[in-house]
Amino acid sequence: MTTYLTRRLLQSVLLLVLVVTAVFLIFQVMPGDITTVMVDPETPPEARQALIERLGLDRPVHERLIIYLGQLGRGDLGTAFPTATFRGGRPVTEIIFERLPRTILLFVVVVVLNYVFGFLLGKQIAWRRGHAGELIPTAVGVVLHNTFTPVAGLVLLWLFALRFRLFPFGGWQDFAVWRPFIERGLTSNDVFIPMIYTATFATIWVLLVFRATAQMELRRVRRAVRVLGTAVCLGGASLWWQRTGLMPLAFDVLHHMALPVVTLVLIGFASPMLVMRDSMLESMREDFVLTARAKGLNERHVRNRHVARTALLPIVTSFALSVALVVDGAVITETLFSWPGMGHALLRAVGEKNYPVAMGVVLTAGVAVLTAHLIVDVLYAVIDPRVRHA
Amino acid sequence: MPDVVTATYRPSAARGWRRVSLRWAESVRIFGEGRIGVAGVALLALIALFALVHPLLLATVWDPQIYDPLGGFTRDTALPAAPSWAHPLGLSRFGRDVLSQLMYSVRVAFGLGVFAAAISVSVGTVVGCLAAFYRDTLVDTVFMRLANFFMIFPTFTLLVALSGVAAIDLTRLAIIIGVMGGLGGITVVLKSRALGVTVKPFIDAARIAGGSDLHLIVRHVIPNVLPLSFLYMMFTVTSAIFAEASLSFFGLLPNVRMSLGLMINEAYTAGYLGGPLLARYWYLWVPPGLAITLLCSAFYLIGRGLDEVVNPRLRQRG
Repeated sequence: MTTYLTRRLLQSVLLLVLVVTAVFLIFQVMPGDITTVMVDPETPPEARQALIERLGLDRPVHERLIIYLGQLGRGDLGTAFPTATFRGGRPVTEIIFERLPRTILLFVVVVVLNYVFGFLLGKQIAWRRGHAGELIPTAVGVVLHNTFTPVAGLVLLWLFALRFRLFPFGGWQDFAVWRPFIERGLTSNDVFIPMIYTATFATIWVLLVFRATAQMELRRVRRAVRVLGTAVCLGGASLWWQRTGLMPLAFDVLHHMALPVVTLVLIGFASPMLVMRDSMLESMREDFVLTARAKGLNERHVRNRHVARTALLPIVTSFALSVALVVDGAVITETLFSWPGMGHALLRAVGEKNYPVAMGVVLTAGVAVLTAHLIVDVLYAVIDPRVRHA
Repeated sequence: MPDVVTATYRPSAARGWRRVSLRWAESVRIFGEGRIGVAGVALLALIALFALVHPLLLATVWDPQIYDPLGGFTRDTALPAAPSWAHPLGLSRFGRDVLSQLMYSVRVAFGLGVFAAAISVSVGTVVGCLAAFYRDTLVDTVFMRLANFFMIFPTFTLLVALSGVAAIDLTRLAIIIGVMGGLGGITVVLKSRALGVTVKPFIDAARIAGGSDLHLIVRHVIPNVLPLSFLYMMFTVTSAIFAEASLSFFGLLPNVRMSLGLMINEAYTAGYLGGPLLARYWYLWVPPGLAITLLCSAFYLIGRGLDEVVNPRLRQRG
């Protein structure tokens, strides 16, 4: 296990260097002078010259790469140009630190919902192979999966924000709700970071409750314990939020988050669903399923406890690959809904030629994806002994 | 003696590919049995017909002055104009016929998708087979590390950044998507399939008979992984069409003059989509939006159909 982890960790570090170099090189192929890219063209000539020398932009590419790596090592991603979206010329790390939690919250919620729906639906449709119960969800899933994200987002905005007035029309905060808190010096991270913890903790809690009750024989008891466990989790979370006094802010964020989440889930749930379906179909052919049936177990029992359990592994693998897809989807969705996260920052930065920000965001995306991949591999090693001992 | 070996060997040399053509008939039969794939082919045929009728229409019925997707123009009407007999899907903000634009853009999307997919599959197949054939050597290690990188990296995010630093046209876009896709997931999947092939006895037989590495790879390894390559081709088509549409939607591809994404972008930047006008100007965004969905769904369904050919375990019975 330790050797596996060490090797895997080393690989990640290697990949990280590769990512950094690739991103660095992308921003070097710019047509024209590198100095116009890295230094704001608006700065006065003397200051410009000083900056160019300080950043080492007059040196050759390989030296600059080493300088850049050194900068990254110190946690310095450069300074944003003072363009319209990123006023004040703040350090890029500060911008990222401010926006990253917003994207992570969106991401965590979307991924969890995608996989919960995908798993449950995939289980059902595999069992209904060849019937309307398989064809209709598959067809709907495929069409939704192939829906152009901006179209889906715009239609949902029009329907739920304009016609039914259920949700706000983009943005991430109702300023009237936030004002008293902002006057007390509260930042968005004070709300978003606890929200991320809550979402993660709640997911793990519920999963553990389901796992722990899996061995209970009586269905009614099992269900009661599960409902109780989930209720305890929700109750505890709301009590905690009540005590911090940030409850209205959290609700405001959830209210603004609903439409982007619905958009991403509608588009995203189909792919785990279809992976689950395929995986179920494969394990349904195994001999132990026949044995289970021969023992006289009912269909539901065979499906949920024998087939679905063994069909889980490919879902974990597909998770690693879907991270990139969700990041891509978030870039589009955040911009559509003016959700000021990382994706929004990237598109704005590219549009405004704010290269330090764009570079920082792409790098963060790379690091995030690498981390997710590492976590999945470690999880895999825990779940599947074959990986550990390979 | 060596002559005898080569003599007996030659007929079998062509067998790698002949087996493909034999198996091809079998594959088509299996593909035909799964309804999903057939539905995809039918849908794709309809879309292709739709796109191919366009030049004919322009040459016969439609006056290019009015109907040309890029330069056509209709005067003396309030723009955008709702659908009418002369313009079944209405006129855009700039007085262009939406149906004509749609037909042209579908052709563009088709071409882009297939080109990108062809590149990615060629790259992926060759690299995957090389990595499997020369497993545990430097070639294998380098390409697998690269594949790990491209597999997990968010492609669209990278494309957005790229479009910010360089002007990308359709050809370059297809090449970038093709190469990134080919070096990523496709390589990994094809390598694992090719690994299964390289340990088969017929590879040893061919090697003992004097076949060179190149010969072995081209004649024996590649033909055996080809169906899987086709499967992944379908998925690359979809991602290429999506990437182009999304980039165009955000106005990041200034060199593209007309595409499905650009049609939606045109209506979006005019403010028709992000507000109450969305329903009134449905004819500006529903046709291109639907075209993207149908086109991608068609390729996706074909991919699923091929999946059942390639993975026998997914078939209903058998």
